[in-house]
Amino acid sequence: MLRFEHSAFGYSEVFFRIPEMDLIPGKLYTLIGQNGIGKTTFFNTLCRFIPLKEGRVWIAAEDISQIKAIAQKIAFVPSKFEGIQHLKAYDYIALGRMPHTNFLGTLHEKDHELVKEAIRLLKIEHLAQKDTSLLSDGERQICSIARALVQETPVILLDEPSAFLDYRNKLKILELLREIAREKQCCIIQSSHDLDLSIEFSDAFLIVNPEEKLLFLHQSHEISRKEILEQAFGLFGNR
Amino acid sequence: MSKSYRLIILVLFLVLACIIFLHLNNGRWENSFSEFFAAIFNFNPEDQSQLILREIRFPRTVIAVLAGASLALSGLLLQTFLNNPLAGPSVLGITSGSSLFVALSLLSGIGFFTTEIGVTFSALLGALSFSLLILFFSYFIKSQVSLLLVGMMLGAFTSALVQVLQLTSHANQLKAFTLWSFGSLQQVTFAQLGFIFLLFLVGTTALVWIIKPLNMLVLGEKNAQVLGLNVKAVRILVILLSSLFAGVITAFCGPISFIGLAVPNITKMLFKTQSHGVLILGCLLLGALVLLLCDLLIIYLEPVIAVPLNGITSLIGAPVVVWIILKKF
Repeated sequence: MLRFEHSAFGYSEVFFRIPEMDLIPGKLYTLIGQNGIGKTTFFNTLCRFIPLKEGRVWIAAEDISQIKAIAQKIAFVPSKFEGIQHLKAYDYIALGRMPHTNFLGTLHEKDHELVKEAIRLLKIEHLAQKDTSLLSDGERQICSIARALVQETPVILLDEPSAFLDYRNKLKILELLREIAREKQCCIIQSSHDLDLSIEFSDAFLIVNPEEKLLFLHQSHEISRKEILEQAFGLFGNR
Repeated sequence: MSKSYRLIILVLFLVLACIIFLHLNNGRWENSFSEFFAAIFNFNPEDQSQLILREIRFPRTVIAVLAGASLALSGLLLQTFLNNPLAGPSVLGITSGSSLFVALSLLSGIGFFTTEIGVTFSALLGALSFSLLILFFSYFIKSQVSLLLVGMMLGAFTSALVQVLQLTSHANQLKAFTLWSFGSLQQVTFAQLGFIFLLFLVGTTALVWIIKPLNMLVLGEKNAQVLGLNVKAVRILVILLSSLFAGVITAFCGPISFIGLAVPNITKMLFKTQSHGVLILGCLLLGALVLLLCDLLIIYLEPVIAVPLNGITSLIGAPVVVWIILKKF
């Protein structure tokens, strides 16, 4: 699904490299790395805010630098959505359909069906007609995920989706992400500092090693909490 | 468009129609509809009352509608684009830009620049260059309030420049500029209406292409870009359109403050939506309505005191803005 070939990420200097890696659909990946290691840069590069430093990245058989409508391939969920006065949750979620609409942004029957389906899947029927500025952080985050879902992209990126949430909502978000990956057969990458919860829910880890400036892929069952801490933060476990 | 929106728009439209007719009648119900029809389409220059209707009342009403709608639309574009409910052509110094350029052209006394087209051109150029200046600042200033302060400083700076210009100019030019700076709907002639309407039509037609981008920009530039919006192209279109709307009106009516700031906010409160198709229509109707009402107030107050238009809009607009600030910040 998502294929990296000798790619490097960064601005003027390279933050980290991915020599070769294949991510497959239906999986939830968790990106782990210390602050400032370039996790956000990695996402920004995939969303094409900044160019790839070196190498190539493919989505299915397409080079991402060549894709015309990147918004139809990659959805991005920021770590916080503050809510907007007079913008209803339903309308917010429906904005995710924009990459698939005409120049007027007309929503057809199919678009409304997809929005409703996402609302059902995430069990937020009771929020649909509420003003997004009046929702809680957790509710808003679920709406943002719904918005990414209706975008119908093979890849969904989330920048620390659970950073501002309480424990129960963190749990809920991770459960949802795993479910969406399975159900929609998309490739989901979230960055997170909630190591213990992520171990429970994600299929694999993308760990940025600060010494070697390399990103390593590890299946969840192959790696322990201690090894993750060691690789990503240079820490020994039990701390 | 949902049913409740349609109802509000219908009501607004009917109220606007009534107010337009009242305004055409100089605030009283004295002329019939057929008299207006005759004055426009079957004009007889010998008829004194037809002449007043055609040359004085009709242009004043039409320009009130166009000016109100244009300024409100300009404000809406800027507010959504800058993600700032307190943005507007006058707050950000865009009208001041027009003022400065108009002052330069009127007070220069150079042939071309004192003509109608010359002044319009200067006002547009002023609006556009100050919009670009604000755009430039908006790259470096992320705080909403700071950007407004920069806009106000631009305004203060230009009005000081204008004062210096006034000191060095001749009496006639000074008078022309001072009258212009009060803001007035009475300077526009029947013959000019066509040109203004054409520019208005160009602007509003172009708005069709900007509804979807504006709906996406509500989420902020980055999120809009992730949803596939070409932010760079939209940025240019927004700046061009908001300058066009504000610049043309400023050229012909002088600086009119607060309409561009207050009306979009009132529209959002009334419709409770972020769907810009609805908001654009609402701003069009409400902007026209508010400015017509302001001008009616001037007409009613005329026997007692002659208040300039800019004075009325500020008197009404300033408290509205304070109310918005109290609600939002």
